[in-house]
Amino acid sequence: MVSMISQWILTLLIFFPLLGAVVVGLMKDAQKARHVAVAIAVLEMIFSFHLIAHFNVDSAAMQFAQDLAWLPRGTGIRYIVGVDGLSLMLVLLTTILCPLVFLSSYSSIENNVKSFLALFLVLESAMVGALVSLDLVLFYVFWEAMLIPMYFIIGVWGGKDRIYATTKFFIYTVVGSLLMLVAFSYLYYLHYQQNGVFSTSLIELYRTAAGLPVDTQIWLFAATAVAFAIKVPLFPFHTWLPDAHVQAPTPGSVILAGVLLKMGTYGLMRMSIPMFPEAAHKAAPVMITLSVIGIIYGALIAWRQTDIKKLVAYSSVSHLGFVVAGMFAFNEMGFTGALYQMVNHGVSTGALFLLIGVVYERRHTREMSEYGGLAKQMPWYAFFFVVATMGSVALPGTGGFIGEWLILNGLFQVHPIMATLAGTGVILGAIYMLWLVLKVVWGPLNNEANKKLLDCNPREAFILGTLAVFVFATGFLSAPLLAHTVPTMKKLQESVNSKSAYKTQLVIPGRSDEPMKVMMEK
Amino acid sequence: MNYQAMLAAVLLIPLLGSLLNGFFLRRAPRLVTVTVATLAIAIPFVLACMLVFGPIAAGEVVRTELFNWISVPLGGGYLEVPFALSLDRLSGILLLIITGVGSLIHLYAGEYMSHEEGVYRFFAYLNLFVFSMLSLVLGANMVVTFLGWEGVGVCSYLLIGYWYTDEANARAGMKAFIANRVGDLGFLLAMFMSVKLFGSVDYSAIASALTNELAAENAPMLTAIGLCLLLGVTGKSAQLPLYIWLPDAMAGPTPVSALIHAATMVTSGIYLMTRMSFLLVQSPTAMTTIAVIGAATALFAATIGLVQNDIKKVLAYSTVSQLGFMVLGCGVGAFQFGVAHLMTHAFFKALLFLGAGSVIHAMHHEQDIRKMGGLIKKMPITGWTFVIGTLAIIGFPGLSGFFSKDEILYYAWSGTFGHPLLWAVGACAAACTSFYMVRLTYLVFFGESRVEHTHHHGHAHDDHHHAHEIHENPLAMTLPLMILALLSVVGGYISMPHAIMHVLGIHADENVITQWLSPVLSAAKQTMTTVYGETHGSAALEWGLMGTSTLIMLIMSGFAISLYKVGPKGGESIANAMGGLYRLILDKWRIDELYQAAIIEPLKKLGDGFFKFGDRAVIEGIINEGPRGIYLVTSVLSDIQSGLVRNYLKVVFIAMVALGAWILI
Repeated sequence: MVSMISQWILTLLIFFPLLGAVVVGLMKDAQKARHVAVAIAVLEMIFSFHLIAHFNVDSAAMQFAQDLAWLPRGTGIRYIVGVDGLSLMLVLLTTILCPLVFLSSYSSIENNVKSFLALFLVLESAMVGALVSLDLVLFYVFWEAMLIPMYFIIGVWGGKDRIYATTKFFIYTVVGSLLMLVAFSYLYYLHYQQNGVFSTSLIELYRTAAGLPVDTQIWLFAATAVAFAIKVPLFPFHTWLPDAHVQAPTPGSVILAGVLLKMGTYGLMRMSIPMFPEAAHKAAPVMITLSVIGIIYGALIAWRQTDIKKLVAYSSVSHLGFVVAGMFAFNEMGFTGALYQMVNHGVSTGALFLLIGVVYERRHTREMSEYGGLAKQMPWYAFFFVVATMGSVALPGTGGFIGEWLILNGLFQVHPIMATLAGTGVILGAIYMLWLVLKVVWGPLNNEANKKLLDCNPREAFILGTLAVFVFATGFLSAPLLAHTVPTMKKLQESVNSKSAYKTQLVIPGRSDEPMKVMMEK
Repeated sequence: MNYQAMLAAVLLIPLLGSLLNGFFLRRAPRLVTVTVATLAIAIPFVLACMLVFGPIAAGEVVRTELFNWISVPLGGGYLEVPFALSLDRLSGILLLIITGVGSLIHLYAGEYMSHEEGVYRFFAYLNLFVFSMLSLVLGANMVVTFLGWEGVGVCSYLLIGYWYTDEANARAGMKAFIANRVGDLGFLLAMFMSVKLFGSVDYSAIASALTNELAAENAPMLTAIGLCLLLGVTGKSAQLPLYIWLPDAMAGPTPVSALIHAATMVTSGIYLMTRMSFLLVQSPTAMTTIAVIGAATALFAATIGLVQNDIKKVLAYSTVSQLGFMVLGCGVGAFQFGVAHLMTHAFFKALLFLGAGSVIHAMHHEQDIRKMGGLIKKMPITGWTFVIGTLAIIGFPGLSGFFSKDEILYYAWSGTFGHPLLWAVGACAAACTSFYMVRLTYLVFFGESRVEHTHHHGHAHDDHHHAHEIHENPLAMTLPLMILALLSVVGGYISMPHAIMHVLGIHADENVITQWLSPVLSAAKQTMTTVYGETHGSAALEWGLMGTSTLIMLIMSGFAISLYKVGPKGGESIANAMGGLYRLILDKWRIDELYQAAIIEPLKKLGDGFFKFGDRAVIEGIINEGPRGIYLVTSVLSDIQSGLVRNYLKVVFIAMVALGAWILI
């Protein structure tokens, strides 16, 4: 029974929200649709716990794998899914964040509710799909499928300049996607040339790609890395992000910062680096330099913003600079820190966007100067705000600290100067975040409009409280959580540094493979 | 209960107290809040006494591991960072000070904050602070210490900005956090270097890995670690150039100033240097830099203290200066006397701050010493305990500060890394200390009363009985004063100089503090004697320096009294004679303005420039041509605002063309 579930769990996780989208779309009553959407997201989250419960911590293999025919055999395109330590964390981040986002939409989305919910469920499907796909075409389909709902979420439910922002978002991402498509196509062709058969299986293409001449590797690496760097976004490809964030409705911003940006860093770690290890080594100085510039550049700009959402958007540029810098250190600390920081950034920045949403719904402004002294009127709000801030500035005891500490520590072992420069981001991060808190939460309650503000209602307090718990839980439970990623990170490090192909295999539940036995005995 | 469990309880009870008050007792009566908070510190104090006077005094080290915190592969092995606590003789002293002085201050604060609403927040922060401070000193590795290190920073931030409705207070909190963060980067880098060099962040693992051969091979790295740690120390212990946050931190409630900004948090740097002493002494460069920074801070802050008129500001600069003495002590290799002075300072400076709080409380938040005077008649307990505190800090023979400060000055001259110049700077700072403390005490408690009878805004109902209603505070506030006064008198005997021990006929090789800390400092001492040779102090030198200090103290105190006998106007003639220099010192050497102009403003401009020029002009300018190009290619050039679906279809069209191209390949 368990192996049956394990075999189908990923497929279920991909298609269950899609099914939910159909159900929600067919419903008549908008309010009921909201409840159903939350229920679907919660069920999805519970399903995803199966992964944690039955994940083999000692294996770097692709677990819960499924390998089915999809397109005609000759194309070599198959339906291959699986999770390892890298994708497991991000799948869980997605499935845990989504129910909270649906809850937040109760007040932030008032028009076309059903369409919104349906699109958002489609988005959840696509995100999970992209994270677990081990076939390049399948991955590409989900990658593009993420784009469409997000395009409409910003374009329909966004702010005043939503059309500009969403078009920009779309074009930037599509340019990246096309580059990626070209790279994948060429690789597909090369694989055929070398082996006489077509394949889009990631596991097979790892081997083909790593064996390519360095020149070819560099071009292919560059194409995929730019595609992912735009999504991250890495300096200087970041200018779409502030616009998209500012215009997006609260749930859009939360999922954009929480999960969608991580697709870029995930792509780098899943595709660009292990596929083209030699090129990755050549590119590492450039990537690290861009990341460190991004850390400082993003932080300084964030500090000077008066629009709260823009401030947090630029802070993402800075934070994700840490993530990219960490992974290009090519050691376990760097990789692990980068992965952990993806999760932490999702939690703390997600919380910050929700917090902005709470006051935006009450006051319809994002200008910092309109606020101030909210602690007096909204003590719980202030509490959550400070907790999210502490998560964002990576205070020890929060997950952000573990992530940043590992990243900087890993980077320091190979590039001490770069790590020190990146470390100034720790100071700058405190400056812009505490500045934000000073202007919004502390100070006198002077603005008449703020004197009647209500503190968080139970729904808001539940959402923010859950995230607050996560901020600290990730800060103290880091060892058991990271234990799931250790074999994967180790293997990644070994293959990159030996400049050889990333070797992994599918572990299909129910088949009597060696790793499965270990799992069953547990 | 076994020792491990007791140690864990010492750490966790304050956290529990904080959570209780912060979440569950928000509506509880004030008495419940205060009792819970005080017990949450007093119970750990009792446990700490049992531990320190039990196994620790017997020479054991109690170590316990709460859980596995970080575990990552590192170069074939693993970097293991457990959440582990370790209680040895060094952390034992700190533990007693934190929980002991902490309990007294909690008791005091219950009364001091009695007019405030929602004190649960105050006590939740205060307990959380103690939890952080305890993790700082009990951490068995640098990461747990760093948790406390930044944790005390956050609690300090929250408590300085406790009265947040005044933005100035919140700003002071922010300044403290950021200045501390600069130092924290130093601590972080020191950790990373330890990982690189030793593959560990555990203190005992580093200590056993650091052999003299390893030290010789990696001398530059050890110097770098030492200097990075020093950067951390200058942030947390308010040394040049990062001290600027501490004077502003006085915006917080006075019990906070006493506990956090005098007795405990600011001494973290001295703890850290003593903890890492075995490593620091390997680098003469690092040690000398530490000593110079300490001496310079001691003198620099003391000069500012000479002219301040806010009772808490004088004490704040005095704290910076005294911390400079402790850092100087560590820098010349006399770590044990850095710690001894840390302890005596915790007693007398907590006493002075609580005394100041008592005055401020009685005078309804008046802090200007020019508006005080003659208060000793109205507040005898506060007054006389304050006098004891002053005598202790200026080093009046027999009181605690005399012993601990003189030992530091003696080693500043004769220690392994000492130099007569360091002594001279320290002696000048001590001279200033005598002057400003006697000036402060005299202007507040003696002479004519200058208490104003004017009406205060917002206190219309009690203004007519303001001046003559100044009276002594209740026992909850005076009891801590009396206990601390007693400790300020006797606390110094642990660091009695050899010369005096000899005269008194005490036949011990070492004084109490040196003996007590010898297991902690043995590695450092061994390195100092084997690498740098024996030190050459003598009883004659010790007597000579002691006599000089005492003479300086008496002269400066007498000078201060003679000057201020006539009230605050007494200093005007000197101030006028000094002219511009006086105004410069009054403006605190305009260091804040310097930082603002040289660092903050340029960074702001850089941020603006990045945004307006980098993002808007350059990047947008270049990259926006790309999308425009795509429009041209698909020859559906149209206004960007033309509508959602059309834009979308355009892009889908492009994607389909590309997909078609791919299939054709």
